[in-house]
Amino acid sequence: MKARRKRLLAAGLAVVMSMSLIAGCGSNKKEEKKAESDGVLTIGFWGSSGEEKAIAEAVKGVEDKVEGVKEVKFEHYSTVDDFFKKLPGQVAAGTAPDIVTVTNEQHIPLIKEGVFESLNEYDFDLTGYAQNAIEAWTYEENLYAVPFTSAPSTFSINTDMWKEAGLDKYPTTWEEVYEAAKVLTKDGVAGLCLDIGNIYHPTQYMNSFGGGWKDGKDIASAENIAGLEYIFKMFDEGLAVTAKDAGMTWDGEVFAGEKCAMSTGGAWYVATMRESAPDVNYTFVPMPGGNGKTGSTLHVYGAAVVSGTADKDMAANVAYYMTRQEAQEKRAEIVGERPALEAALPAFRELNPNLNVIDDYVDTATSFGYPADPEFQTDFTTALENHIYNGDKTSAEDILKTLAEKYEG
Amino acid sequence: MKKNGKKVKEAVSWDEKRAGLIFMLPAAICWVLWFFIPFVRSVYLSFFEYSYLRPDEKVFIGLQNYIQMFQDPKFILALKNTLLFVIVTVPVMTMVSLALAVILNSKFRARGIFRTIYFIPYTIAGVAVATVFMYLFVKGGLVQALLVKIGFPDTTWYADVKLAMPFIGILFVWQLVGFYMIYYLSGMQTISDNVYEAAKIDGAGGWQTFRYVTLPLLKPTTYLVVVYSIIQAFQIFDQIAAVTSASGGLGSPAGATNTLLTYFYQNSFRYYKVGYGCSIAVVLFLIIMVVSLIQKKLSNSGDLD
Repeated sequence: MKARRKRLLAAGLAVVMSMSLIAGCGSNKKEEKKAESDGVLTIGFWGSSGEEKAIAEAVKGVEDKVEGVKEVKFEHYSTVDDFFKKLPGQVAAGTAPDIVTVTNEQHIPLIKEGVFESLNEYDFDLTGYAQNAIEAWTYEENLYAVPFTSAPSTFSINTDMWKEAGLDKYPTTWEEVYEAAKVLTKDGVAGLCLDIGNIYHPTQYMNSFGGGWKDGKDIASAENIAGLEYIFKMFDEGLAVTAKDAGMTWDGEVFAGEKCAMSTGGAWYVATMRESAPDVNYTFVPMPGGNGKTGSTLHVYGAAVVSGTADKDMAANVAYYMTRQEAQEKRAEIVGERPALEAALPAFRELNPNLNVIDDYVDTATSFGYPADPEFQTDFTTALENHIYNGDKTSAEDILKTLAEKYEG
Repeated sequence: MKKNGKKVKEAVSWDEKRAGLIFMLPAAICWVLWFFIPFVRSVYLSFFEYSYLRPDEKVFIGLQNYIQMFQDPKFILALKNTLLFVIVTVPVMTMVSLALAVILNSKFRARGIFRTIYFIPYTIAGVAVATVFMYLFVKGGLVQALLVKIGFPDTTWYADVKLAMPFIGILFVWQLVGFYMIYYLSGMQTISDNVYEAAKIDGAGGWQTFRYVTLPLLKPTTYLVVVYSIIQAFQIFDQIAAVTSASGGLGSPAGATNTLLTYFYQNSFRYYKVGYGCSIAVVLFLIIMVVSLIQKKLSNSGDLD
């Protein structure tokens, strides 16, 4: 082949390849989902095989209880990240599941984008469901999912390390955590794991200092500033480690790998510890408080009906059915999650006595309250990473004021 | 074909032309449907505030997305990261793949095995390569432990703002260098032995033969390698996603690994700002086009024949 032709071919390919680059964002108009229901419902979820088992238990017998249901299928997303990446595209393409089980952590942007249907019109009987769990799934007076778990975060402590360091009473304030971390940080082990890569962790500090994001209405509050200053202090003094620093993907892995002695975690640590570190002794204590205040975040799994479902009524009734007492009890047994229904709690307490500590403060736990614009989470994480990995000296107050300027409103 | 020093077109019969067109047609139709139309639509959407979840609510905002882009520090950082990545990795990739090809074109035992070994990384998924490299470059990891001994900071490369992008660059070059090495090898095998014989008779040494015979005759191959690697460097995504998604999100730490493509993805698919995302993609397209045209212009300055 002549060189000139080669050049022309290469230039042509360059055009094609670079065009293909931007072709991806020119999606077509939102597709309409199948016009008529055929009685087949798809439920989407992420998580382990246990999760699938728990959902299978939740829908057991649904064909007899909800009119029109002939078959239930499952769609398993490999990770939570995969779920949030794929679902909006599926909704746009009309291929999304009819129902998804999802937590309240990233739900507001999806609600605002119309991914979930409001369930207000069904007036479901939610007597006995935890009030803060219902509130976590209520946005602008509309209920967007029927809650079936209600799990506040807890503070996890490696009791072997704690005893070895000669420490006695478990901390109830962040100042006590700071003092303990100074003793526990040694030999490549950090006193505290604080996974700044996930906004959930810093949010614990904001909430427990008495602040919180409050749906973006009070980003630069004095309590949030105090929480962020505390986080910076822990890193500046070398008392905390991130999952990334430890070469791991999340805080539970760092805690299980004994690269830290304390971490903000929750009931979800139980399965990880059981599988990855059965010989490590640990305990859960209430989330410590800061500046004389307390608080924690509340994780609530809910069954949400996805917009565009062929039969909204059927999907809504199945979602409600999935949260009945028996389903929540089974779920507690299979995946160890704390039920949202008061009547299902005794079974959970019996199975997880080490998590009974939650009962003492569950009523003060609140939803995450991130501002609706998902870019906020990136901006906040970037600011933290700039301080921790890049030595940026911008004060906590200035960081939060800048964010407030952009996202409050 | 050349006649009296001038290039003339070879006569092609109508039947041959028609056969050519028929063979091209399926690919051309697919290209128009899946690339050209979405491309035009992307350019169109870049003038709107648009979310694909609410397609009926799009608002025409003219050039606002483009104006906002050049006032957006995150875009500027992504642009800087992208250009730096291309400027550093493309020459490194080209030189290393050429060097490997020269070595593996000479005759020695087990040459085939080495060719295979260097090519294997290209056949492995980017995510898998990234995961292995993360273990090697983590604080206390195998490679990192050696690097500390020669004065590198004791840190996890992908958690360090200054080292995260070089880390991506290393794994990018490592994965693709074998692919371009094959390009060069095939280019070298088209060079006639007679040319080398003539150079030898003229008294050329090893370096002179390479400098004045091999390198000029590989110019068309170098052009292809440079153009392709520029485009691939501009489009790097998988490796960054694998390294950063687990903790800190795409582009972490602190935006150090954000490129135009990852920023486009974030805006379009994470923040649902598709119009803004499309405008970033259009700018990226234009940059690649301009770079490719400059490259073409430069290589036109010499006769590749």
